[in-house]
Amino acid sequence: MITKTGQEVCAAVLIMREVVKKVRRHYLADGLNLHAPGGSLYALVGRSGSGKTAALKLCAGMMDPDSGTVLINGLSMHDRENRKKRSRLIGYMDEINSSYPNLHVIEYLEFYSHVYGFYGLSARERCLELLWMAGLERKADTLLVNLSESAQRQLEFLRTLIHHPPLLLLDNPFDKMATQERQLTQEIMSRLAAEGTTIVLTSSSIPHVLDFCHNIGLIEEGRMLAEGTRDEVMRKIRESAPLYMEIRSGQEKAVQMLYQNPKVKSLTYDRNYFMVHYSGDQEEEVQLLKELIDAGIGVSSFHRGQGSLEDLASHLS
Amino acid sequence: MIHLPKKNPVYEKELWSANRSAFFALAIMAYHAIMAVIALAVFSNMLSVIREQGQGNYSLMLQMYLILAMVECMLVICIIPGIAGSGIAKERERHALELMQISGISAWKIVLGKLKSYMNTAIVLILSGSPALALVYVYGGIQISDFIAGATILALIAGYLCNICLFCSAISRKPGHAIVISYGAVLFLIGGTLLIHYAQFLLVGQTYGESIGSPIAWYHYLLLLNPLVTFFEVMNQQAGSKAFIFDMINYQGNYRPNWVTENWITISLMLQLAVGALLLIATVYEVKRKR
Repeated sequence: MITKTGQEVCAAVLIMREVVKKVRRHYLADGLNLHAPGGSLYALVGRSGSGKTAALKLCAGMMDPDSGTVLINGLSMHDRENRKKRSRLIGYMDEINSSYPNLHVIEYLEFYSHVYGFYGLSARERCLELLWMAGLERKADTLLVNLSESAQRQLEFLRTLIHHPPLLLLDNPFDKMATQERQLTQEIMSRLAAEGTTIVLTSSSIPHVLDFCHNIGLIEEGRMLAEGTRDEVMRKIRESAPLYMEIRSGQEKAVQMLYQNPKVKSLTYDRNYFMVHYSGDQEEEVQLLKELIDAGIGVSSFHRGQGSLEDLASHLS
Repeated sequence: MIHLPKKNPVYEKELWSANRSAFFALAIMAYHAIMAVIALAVFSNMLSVIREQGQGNYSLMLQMYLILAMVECMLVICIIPGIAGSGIAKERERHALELMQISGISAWKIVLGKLKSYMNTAIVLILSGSPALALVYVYGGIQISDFIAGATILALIAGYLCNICLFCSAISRKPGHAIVISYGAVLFLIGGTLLIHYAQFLLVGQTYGESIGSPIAWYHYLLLLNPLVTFFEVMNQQAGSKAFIFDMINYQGNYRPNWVTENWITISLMLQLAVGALLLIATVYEVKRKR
């Protein structure tokens, strides 16, 4: 795969295969599969407690799976010999700010550059470059305790970039981020993805990620319910929304016809009003409407409802 | 091109952080205030005795040195759990421990970085207490070498306590719990071992040792782990009392001295260093395990 800027990157950076992780009686991952292509912006979405954070922690090596594999650029992340390489490959951002109140902004970044083994002028330059990237250069000498929560989140994001990792794992990065900072962070993420960095992020706010992510994975109870490009997932969302019909005459015949249709998953009706879960695409919808009218059924209204990821999740689970 | 040695990042971060911490500033202020007040009280008391008697009693200077050195030791013992007690637990609570570990830094580097920074603080406390101790030099009686030996042993004791507190913080999930456990462990070492030592006499009023020349009972050797007793023995040896520890163990007893009581300081320091080293290894293991 060649990115817009001409850099060659690996086609598949992050793969999770049949990963199982059980803590006490609760499954954090239950045969979880994930495939984040190289240079993609991958949003892992799902309800609270669905296993998003656990999935990221399993990828980052903060948890070892009971079974299954996590591969980054083909390297198994839970093999002892690959542990050193893992730290170079991954930038991880936690849901909670880990910042130290008594450190200056620049010291915080410098501390992590030293942790990654970068010292001296080059490390300081990299930290300043990151601050400049996020418009925080004027706050370099501000104590973290005096920094707004939004800026602290930004700083946490910048920390993940210190060692130029090819894979970013970001747990709820936009949480507590103000609109302006969020937009700027999204711009940085898009630029990094265009340069070949794979970004996997979780979000509790689905509209934020639907707008700019390339790939979406929908997770529920530690299982991947749906995964694909944004267009594929959007189509699935659309298809998961029910068809609403108002039928003035021939209701009994309509019920009979709809039950016989293999694409009809469920049917609910009350006098003239019908709600149908129909898995066909737009052309098949037209065909269905045509069949109903040809059969002499008085259809006065026929339309799809507006779907959402939540609907898709409940529909699939 | 000159390559400067790379500092331990955790140590460096702790130094930056501790220098701005209100607790550190308050601890130093309280430490010096207590040292100064006690030094002043002891010194003025000594001067009033000299004034009343009309002649200088140089053994009073020695007593002043002993009192101040013991106060310094007790203050160090009180402050260290407050500083080192939450070290690892606080990092774990803010999820920074996990972040550091996945960034490739070893558990050894994390723990040693913390230990170095707490030792740094302890040495600052010990050395900055020297002006109060220097009052002794108004009349003399104590050599510089005595002062250096006392400070070195106090630093070793501080290292021992830091290792205990770091271990307590590694096994605790919450920083508050870690501090309580650390103070509990230090209290047991100081008060608990003394209580066990005096237990038989206090509870049943029984004399130690069935007959004259009996071997010392095992539980008295727990005092080898007591840093305050070690330091007190050092101070007494400096003041010329060679049999202090045996006198203490043999309080109301019939024991006979042995090679342990004769080499108490060396054995207790070696034992404390060994316990400290074992706890350090255990702390590293805990940091790795509770990831």
